[in-house]
Amino acid sequence: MLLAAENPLEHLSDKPWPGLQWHWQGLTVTAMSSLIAAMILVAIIAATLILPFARRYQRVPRGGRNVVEVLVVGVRDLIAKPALHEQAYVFLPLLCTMFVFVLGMNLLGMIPLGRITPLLGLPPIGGTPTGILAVTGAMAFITFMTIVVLGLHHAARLCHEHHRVPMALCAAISPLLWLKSLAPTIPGLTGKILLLPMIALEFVGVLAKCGALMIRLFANMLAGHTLLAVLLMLLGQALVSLMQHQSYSLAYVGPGIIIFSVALNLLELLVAVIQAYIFTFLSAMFIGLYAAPSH
Amino acid sequence: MPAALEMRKAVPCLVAALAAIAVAPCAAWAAEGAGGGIPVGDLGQAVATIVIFLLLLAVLGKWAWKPIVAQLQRREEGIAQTIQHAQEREKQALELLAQYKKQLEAAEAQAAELLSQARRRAAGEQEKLLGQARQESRRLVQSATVEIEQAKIDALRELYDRTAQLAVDVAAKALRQTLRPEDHRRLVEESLREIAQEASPKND
Repeated sequence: MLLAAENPLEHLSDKPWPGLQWHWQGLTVTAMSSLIAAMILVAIIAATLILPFARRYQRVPRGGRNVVEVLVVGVRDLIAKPALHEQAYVFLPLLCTMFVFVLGMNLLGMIPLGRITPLLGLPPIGGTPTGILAVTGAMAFITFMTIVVLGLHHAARLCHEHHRVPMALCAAISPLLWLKSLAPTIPGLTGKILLLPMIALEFVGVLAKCGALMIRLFANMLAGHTLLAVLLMLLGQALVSLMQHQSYSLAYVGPGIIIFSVALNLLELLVAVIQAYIFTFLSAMFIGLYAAPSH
Repeated sequence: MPAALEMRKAVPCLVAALAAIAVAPCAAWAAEGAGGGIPVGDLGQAVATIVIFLLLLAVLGKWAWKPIVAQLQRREEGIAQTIQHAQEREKQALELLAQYKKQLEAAEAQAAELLSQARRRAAGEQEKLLGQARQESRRLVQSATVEIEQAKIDALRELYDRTAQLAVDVAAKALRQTLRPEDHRRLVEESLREIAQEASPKND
């Protein structure tokens, strides 16, 4: 299917559903597209697979319940506890959902649904949602918002508890308090002079960390898919060369490309899981770094 | 609690404000990157991602993660309690074992002491009974000796009497006419005295 595509990266691009994309003064807004449908599909599959096993309590877990528990225990012990310590259980639902959602989006990109659904008369569904910056940026934005909201909440609570100031006032000035708490404490005049630059630097640090989250996931998924696409394009060229020009020189690379593509696909499976883990783990680390009371 | 409630009311306002700040550059970035080579996406996809994620978080958070985590914690607590109980019981069992060993050793020592006492008592009783038996046998031997001696004396006396009578009768028959009764008696007594003198050194 990829061989037939004009653009080898076409399977990564989003296909808006008819009439559900608007352009306004150079700004594009898509209400529904193949990637949004893929994300909805991921959410539905995740909920369908996980929810039935959550209801049944078994003293000794079996079958699918075992898988779900392994997932939860893995996120708790490998991600939440090392990064968030005693607050691990507070953020466990967020981290579990994040891991499942990112993993689902990564894995869905391995299935060529976008080519199958039009054949069935359905609108385009599928693709790799994590292969576009808007999606990974939105996921990183969720981490950023978690950091900010928890940081503000913590700053407001500390202000209310330590200075006996009304909670509403504390909530109002909490952005300033949180920004101030980001900067390290330096005594004397130097501290006062460096306060504003340090605050700016630390805030840029938060943004940079979340930006790195966005770029890392996007780049990894894009790179794998691009490499696969290029390899398959080479295979297409070899076939064209064989059929049109009766040239066997490129035909010899065909089996090698197929074997390499299969291996790369398996590697992509591994990358999908690793990137979901890394994204969730780094999110947990940043949340713990900026929103935990010990900071 | 009121402070926490106020904070909860303030959180959505803060989220909305921060979202507005973040969305502005995002929109500009989406507009700029829409026609580029890198698949940037657009604002709609970003908003859809956030909405879908939050919905999934709400659904899974309430009906999946919360019960699963609660059940996991319950099971882990149960396992920890079971391990703790097992350890406590093992400790108790070891203490009981040590106690029983001590009691067993004490009982063995007591039994050995009782056995030793019984043996000593039995030996004492044996000695006592043996002494009594020896005394009794000695007494019986002495009384038998006395009785034998007495029987011997009686037998000898009877023998003297009979012999004397026999001698008198024989002598009377032989000397009926020459001896007077007084001589006869004197002769008999002399004979008896001689017999007694002959018998006495043999008995001694």
